[in-house]
Amino acid sequence: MISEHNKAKALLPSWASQLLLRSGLYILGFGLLLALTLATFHLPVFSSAELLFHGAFGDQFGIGRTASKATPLLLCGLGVIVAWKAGMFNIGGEGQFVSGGLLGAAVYPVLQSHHISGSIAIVCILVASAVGGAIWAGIAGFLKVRRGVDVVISTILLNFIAFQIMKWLVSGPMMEKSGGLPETPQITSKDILWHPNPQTDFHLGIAIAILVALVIWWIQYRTRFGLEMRVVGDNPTAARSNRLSSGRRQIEAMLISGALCGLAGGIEYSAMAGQIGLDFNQNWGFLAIPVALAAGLQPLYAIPSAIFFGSLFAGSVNLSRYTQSGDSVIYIIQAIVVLGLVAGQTWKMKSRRTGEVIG
Amino acid sequence: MKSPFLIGSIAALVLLSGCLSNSSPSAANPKGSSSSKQSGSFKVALLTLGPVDDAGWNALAYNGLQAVKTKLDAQVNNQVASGTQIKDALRSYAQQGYNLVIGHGYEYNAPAFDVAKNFPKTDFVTSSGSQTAPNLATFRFYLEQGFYLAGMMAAEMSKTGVIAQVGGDKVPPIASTFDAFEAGAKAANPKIKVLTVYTGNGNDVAAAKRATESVIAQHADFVIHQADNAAQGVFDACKEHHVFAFGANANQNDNQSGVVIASAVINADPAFVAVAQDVKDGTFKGSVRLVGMDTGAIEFDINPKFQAQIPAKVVASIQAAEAAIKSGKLVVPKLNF
Amino acid sequence: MKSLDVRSISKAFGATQALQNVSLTFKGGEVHAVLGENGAGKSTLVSVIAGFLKPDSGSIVSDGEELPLGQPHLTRQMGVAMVHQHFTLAPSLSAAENYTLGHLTKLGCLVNPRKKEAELKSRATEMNWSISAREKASALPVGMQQRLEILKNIGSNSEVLIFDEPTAVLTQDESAELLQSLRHFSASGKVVILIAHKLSEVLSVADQISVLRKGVLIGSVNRSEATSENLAEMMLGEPPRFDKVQTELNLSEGLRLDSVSVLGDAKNRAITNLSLEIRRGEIVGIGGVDGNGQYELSEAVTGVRKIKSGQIRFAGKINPVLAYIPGDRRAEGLALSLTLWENLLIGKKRGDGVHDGYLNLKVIRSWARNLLTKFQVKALGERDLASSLSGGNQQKVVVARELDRNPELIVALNPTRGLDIKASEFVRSSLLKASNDGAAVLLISTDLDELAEVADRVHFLQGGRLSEPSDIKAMVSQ
Repeated sequence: MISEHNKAKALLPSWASQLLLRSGLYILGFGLLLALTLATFHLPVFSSAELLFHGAFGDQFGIGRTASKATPLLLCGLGVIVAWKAGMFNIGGEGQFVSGGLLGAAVYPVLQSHHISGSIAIVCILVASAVGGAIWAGIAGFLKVRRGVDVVISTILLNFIAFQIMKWLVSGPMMEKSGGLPETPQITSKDILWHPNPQTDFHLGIAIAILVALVIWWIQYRTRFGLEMRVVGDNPTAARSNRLSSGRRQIEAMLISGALCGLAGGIEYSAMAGQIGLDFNQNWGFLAIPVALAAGLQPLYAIPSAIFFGSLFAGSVNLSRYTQSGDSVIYIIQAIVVLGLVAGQTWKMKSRRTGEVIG
Repeated sequence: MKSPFLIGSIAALVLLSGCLSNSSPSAANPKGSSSSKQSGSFKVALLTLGPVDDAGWNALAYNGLQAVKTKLDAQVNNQVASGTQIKDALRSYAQQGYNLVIGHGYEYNAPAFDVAKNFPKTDFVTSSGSQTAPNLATFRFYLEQGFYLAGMMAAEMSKTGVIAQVGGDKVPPIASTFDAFEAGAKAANPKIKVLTVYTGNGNDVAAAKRATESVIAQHADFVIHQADNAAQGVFDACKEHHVFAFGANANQNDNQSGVVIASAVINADPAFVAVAQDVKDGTFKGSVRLVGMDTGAIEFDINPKFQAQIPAKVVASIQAAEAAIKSGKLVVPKLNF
Repeated sequence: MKSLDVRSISKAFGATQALQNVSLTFKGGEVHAVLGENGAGKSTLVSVIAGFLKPDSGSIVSDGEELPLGQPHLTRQMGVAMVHQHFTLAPSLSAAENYTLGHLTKLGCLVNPRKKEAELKSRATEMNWSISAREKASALPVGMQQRLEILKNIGSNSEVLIFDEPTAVLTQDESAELLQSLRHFSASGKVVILIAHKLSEVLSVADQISVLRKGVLIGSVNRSEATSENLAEMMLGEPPRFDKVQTELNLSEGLRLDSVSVLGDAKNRAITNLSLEIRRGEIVGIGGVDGNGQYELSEAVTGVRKIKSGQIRFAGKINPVLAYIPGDRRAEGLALSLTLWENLLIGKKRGDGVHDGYLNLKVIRSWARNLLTKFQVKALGERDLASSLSGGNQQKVVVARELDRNPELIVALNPTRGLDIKASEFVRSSLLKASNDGAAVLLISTDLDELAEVADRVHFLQGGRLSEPSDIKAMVSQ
């Protein structure tokens, strides 16, 4: 045992070998699942897979598309990680995404009326959206800590409230004046989040998301604050008997989590959608949960995980256009991937448990 | 990682909701489409708000696309896109090098205006809408002409003196056709009473049926609709109460309810083919293209099964009005939007 | 069933040889104790007998008939019953319902709840036990839960009864009663196997004693030949050392509680008007049965729980440098899915690489490595997960963390519960050493031997009130 451990250490730093092993296994497993699913749906396995790959990585457009889909997944995934690591099972990423986008969109006309535009406007929008998400998650955190309301329940319910508020706002107070469609006004092109090439979907938000992932990793693993959040999540009783203020850490974790999901909403609003319509909630906040699980709740692993799930969405555009399948196949593949992960985890736990019988 | 069961059930729930809510709007198109990845050929894409098998607004656009395919030897592709997916769909077709992208609906106009700027090599056309650009044109289907004739026919044949129109969303294109229907009816019989109801949802069949039943209860004996996918609700209600209905957008005379006496029809084939021809020839202009009865894009088709029940006098007056419209002597009112 | 023969059983987990060629005979009418340190292979042995584990080789024969291996269901039908160390009760079901769960013969069979309730009551009376059959399992006192657990797992046809460390969670009195009931079972001719690591218990009840060490059977002796010295030697491989460091009282002022009252979780009065003084260098023991305010007292002194009235001061201050060593390290001491260095860092405010804004990992890791060596924690390295350690080593990690801050006040609540002799000795000597260095120590324990060994003075908590100091040494030697 010991010598093997050291050998692995000598060849590669342990995080790198772990990353290699993980991603290698994932790619292998995913390839198998993909082939099986495509075959089940009577789709030509190789040409469909090629379409999928081309749509996700085939050219600059595909890569941009993958990156733009991975951005909200990564940010919301990080939100899930921060909250879950602190023992707060935040299922409300979607509601926080929506409330973030809404507050960002609400700030925009105010900025316009004060003739603020360009990068200052973008910063204001993104800050507002992070605040919007944080408020929404903060409600759930507060309810849990002060009133003992289960976070899973409260965040799910807050999702529904956020959707309804959005429907009311975009078809009422925040509706664009001209067209009569239930949408907020379009952001003018000079205020849109920077795209290096306006033809591709690549935008600054991707860099922001990756930067945020690094910062979250640093907070979680290199500060006392992060350590305390994780201790509170792992064992609240231990935290309590070590005189850590667990309630405070849990609320803070929810605020950060909500801010990340809200930021995702703000980026989606200011970089991609440009406005908020009735279907602004595209389930990024929900899909972030599989992203976080596949990453083993590690902030850095969330980057490849989000890119992987993002590429599935990017590639699925082609699959639905040029095959008989439609993109429901993509959801099926994702579901199978996540079930596989969960099954793997359960199996791992089970084998650990048999080991415990010794002694 | 407290409990794998909890995590598993959450994941299952999440994915289930993902499947339920997202797969339906962009479900596979049943008519299929050919793979098109070789470059250099002439490529045309169509975006519709709903499935193209609705036998109405979306189906007529699909027929137009097929006409483009056969007449101009184009590679065609089509997809359902609504709401926030619109912009993404427009962009992705442009990214894949399509020469012409048709957005079949008013909702496509504003997003297309936004996207067109960044893709000067692709031409965009939206069915209705007012914003244009060098590479963005809009169709203005003069469907009001067909509705005008329907209004005349209903007013001349109504026994109760009450006729009605049932709409989905109250958007300018629909309101404009309803105005024309009312104008035609009033021209034929100034005393006619015209009821108007909007359900607010072009996909809610049950709501359309309830709305229709309510106008029939107010003695309407002719009902025209602009209910898109929910049209079947209107027809079903008419059948149950033995009232005539008009079809709209596509020729719905053969609807199995057997109550459609005539249809105000958009025939997209000539319009689509003409605009595609312009794109192919490099003569495309970003302008509003008003297409009406004179080019054959709008028709008013009387259901031959009911010929015996329609007085010759009525047929004659409709034919006269149609001729006047085609020659430009009669200008049907329309809203600008 | 007259006897049970275990014949050359071996079982390995990966590279660890948990059992090596173990052969033993258990006779009917005898209480046969299997002794050993944590990790000696006791639990593995009984898991093999009960069918939960399939051995790599060997067989088990009962009255000439081979028992099926690795098939707990069949084994149970043949009359082998096992009472687990951890309770397997469903907390929100009533006692009678829990009992019923243990005696369902087939899936889908109809159950008459009244009949089962009566059955439970009559079997309890048979044992001279009282069980409130309609109470929820979670509302029963621990001792009664244990009895319920026993009745649940042992059927009327059970011939071989296995008890896996049944006294781990019981108080002295409850343990004594339980051990008596083992005699009751053996008197009716059944085979009774008792897994234990406390010598005193084994000596008080067993007829035959077998000792395992590192998976090997060291020996099997009759009660008449056994003494605590020779048993301990068999277990540990060397004569045990009970050297007690002579404490030198540093009599400066330490902890002082003045008529303190504390409320429990259910807003009940858990501690009433308690006054106590512990000087620096002194170890004060608090004995008594669990649930009499011990937990609330420890939380009040550590400042985790607010007090209702009274005053707690340490040499006039409110916040002394404090160490808290709980007995239940899994629930209270450690964050199990975190690494050892992270666990050592819990509650640390600064120093050794901990800064206000960030953590200097290089410094912290070497500090953690030193600490693990100093406190003899058996681990591959400071980056191991806390969950990968054995119970004794986990407790050492807690002790290391708490004592590293050079505490002025130490509160220990059953700090050696569930630990083997070596680990217990280590924890106790750490407490003694800390008190020699001038800490005031409050040791709350249900283990009288422990109190007698370590404490300078012992009080008892009864219903939230403190007794006068007792002569614990006299009590233990009785």
